[in-house]
Amino acid sequence: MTSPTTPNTPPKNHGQATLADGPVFETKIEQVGEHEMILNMGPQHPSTHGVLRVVLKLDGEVITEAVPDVGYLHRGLEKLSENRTYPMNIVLSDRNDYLSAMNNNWAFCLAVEKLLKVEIPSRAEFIRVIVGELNRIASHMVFYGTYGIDLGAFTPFLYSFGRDREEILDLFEEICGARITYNFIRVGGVMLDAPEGWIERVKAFVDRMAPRLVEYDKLLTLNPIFIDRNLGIGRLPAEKALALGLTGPNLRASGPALDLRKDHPYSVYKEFHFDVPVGKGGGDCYDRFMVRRQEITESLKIVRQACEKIPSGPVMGKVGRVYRPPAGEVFAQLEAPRGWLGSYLVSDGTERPYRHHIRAPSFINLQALSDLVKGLKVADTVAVLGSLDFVLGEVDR
Amino acid sequence: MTSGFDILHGLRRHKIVGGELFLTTVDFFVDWGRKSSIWPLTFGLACCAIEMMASFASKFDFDRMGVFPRPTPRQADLLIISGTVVKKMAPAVERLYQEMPSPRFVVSMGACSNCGGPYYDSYSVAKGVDKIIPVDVYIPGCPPRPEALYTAVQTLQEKIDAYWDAGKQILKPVPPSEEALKKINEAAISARGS
Amino acid sequence: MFPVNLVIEISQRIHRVTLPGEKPNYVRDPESFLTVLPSNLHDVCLALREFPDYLFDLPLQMTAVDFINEKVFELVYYLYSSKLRQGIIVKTQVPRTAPEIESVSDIWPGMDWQEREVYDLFGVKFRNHPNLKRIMMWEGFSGHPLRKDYVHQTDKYDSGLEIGTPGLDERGVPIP
Repeated sequence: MTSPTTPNTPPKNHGQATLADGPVFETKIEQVGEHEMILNMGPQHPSTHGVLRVVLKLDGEVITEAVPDVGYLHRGLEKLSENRTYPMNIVLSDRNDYLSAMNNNWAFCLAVEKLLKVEIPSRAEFIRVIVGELNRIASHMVFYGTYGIDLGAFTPFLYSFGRDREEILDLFEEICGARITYNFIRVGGVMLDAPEGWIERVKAFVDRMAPRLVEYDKLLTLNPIFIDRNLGIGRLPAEKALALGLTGPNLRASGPALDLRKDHPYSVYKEFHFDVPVGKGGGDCYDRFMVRRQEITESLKIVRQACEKIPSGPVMGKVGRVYRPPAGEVFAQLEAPRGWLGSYLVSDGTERPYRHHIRAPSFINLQALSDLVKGLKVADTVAVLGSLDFVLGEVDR
Repeated sequence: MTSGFDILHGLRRHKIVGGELFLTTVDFFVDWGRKSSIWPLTFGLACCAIEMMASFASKFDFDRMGVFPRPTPRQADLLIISGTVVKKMAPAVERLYQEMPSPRFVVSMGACSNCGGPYYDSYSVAKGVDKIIPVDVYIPGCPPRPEALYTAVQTLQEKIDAYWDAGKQILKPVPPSEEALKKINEAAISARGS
Repeated sequence: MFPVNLVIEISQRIHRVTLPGEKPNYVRDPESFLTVLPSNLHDVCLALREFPDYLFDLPLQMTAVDFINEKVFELVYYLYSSKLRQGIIVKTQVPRTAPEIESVSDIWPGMDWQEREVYDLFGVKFRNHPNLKRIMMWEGFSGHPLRKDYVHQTDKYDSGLEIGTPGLDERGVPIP
């Protein structure tokens, strides 16, 4: 089949159902009973998770079925990767999971470095760990702030997103010039060395954060309304979580302590002492929240240790400007704030990849949604969506 | 300041017993009301949405310009398209625009909604939101900083100033004519010496 | 990272597995992988999950590669065992002209969406899949974009430079 025989019909306007043509949406829910109603949480909704559409079948206010509809941000990244050279691909990879762009760059670079067999200098590895962990803290702060907004608490957003995350973004701006999409971690090392005094500023930031985390706990974690809305909602047992392919904080909240930084350490993670927080309440929304809240503490520990141990030296290995990795295929993985971010790269010896597939953790985590919200009320759907912490850029790529 | 005709601000100000009296036209008053309380729709598509959220947050507080996000298009008068418009999403964008009551404005934020951006050769991206809805202000950047979004809102405010014009143009500056423009250009070139 | 003798051990237990053949000068990260025939895939996956010594219970990744010169789609399954902390890669090849294979979403529910994505973007049909519909592209879209011979039909949202538009060469430059 080389060319399609039927012309492409343009996308229909979902939800624009008139009585004349019956229900028009493509995600079909069979057999709506007499008491039941279909509610469309459309691609535009006030929660800040992006363009996700969930079609809910309700019996009163209780959900009986939920069908997520993704693809509203599908930009064709994997096809574009085949048309871009390897350095151009790093730019595209930033926009994948835009809340933790450093980790995306890193995953792609790990894959190419395995093919090219490049030696990465030690200082570059430490800088990679520092920016990767700072980005994890920033991503969890966005989670903290937006989760509060979803449940109705507006103040934590101003503290975590508006004050503390901006300090991290200032640090990133000093080192690479951008706030969100960095294009900083390159094949062979990092783009630039840290400017004068940057490491001291990072240490000062880590010191400032400790009393602020106490504030976070007072605002949200120990808030009785927050606890009521989260405890016991959306429980996911460990076997089901594993069978669905969940990884990252979502899986650790359900029990198994699977963390790539500890189980299969990459880069220089062997040199740091940190714990892996695990949920104890059966994998409900509060567990998922607590795991991420504790991960902020652990990441701060890692950043402080990295700042103390960082050696001096070059920050870029011996890589030319145009590199042609040998023909082959490779899997690379790292622990992103959302889970196991994998990169599968097939190269045919030219300067452009033959196939680049991104194992996006959010895409696979989102499959848990339809199981989790059965039997909950509509307001709890928002809590479950928020606690899964997905990014639509990664879901749709 | 006693009475006088304040050409720049389009008001006459008179000092009277007990305070000050402003006399102005309905045009000016309505424009001032509209531009000082632009309420955008919370419509974040992709990475630019994070910068839009940052501009609503505490460091780059947008509320001091009167900009406050509304969740429903029926109560919003600005649509900030922040992020890539994918063809699957395009009918929804068009529908949201049609649901907004007039006067409504559109700001296209970021390279993806200006012209397709880094996805210029993708099979599923609409190359620019102006293929779907009319746009008032374009902001370049990937993503543009919150300060750029500020500049866009200020540009939009200047545009709103000229919006509801009863045709009289008494208090608005008159743009230069063609000959005057030519003379200005020649003077600038000769001053540069190139 | 992954011991190579795991492959030999598994292939001794599950006899319907072929050991990988090497392409000349093909670089591969040293990981264990199995190549199976498409008709055996479901049984091999079930055995990998059920064997009490292995228990590959985490379906990490499932994707496809379009080898147009060899006229096959190569399906790649990356499975992980949380008990052993080991991973394994299972590969199989289906012909491009009739790409069909048994679905493994009854073994691991996490493969559901990943198989839908491969169906949407490559056109590989999965038998016994609970809900095989397009997931990324909209219903009514014809064509499978990630194939190497995808021909793009320009519509009102396009600029004419899309990959696969007739009249552009493979680097996106218009042919004069």
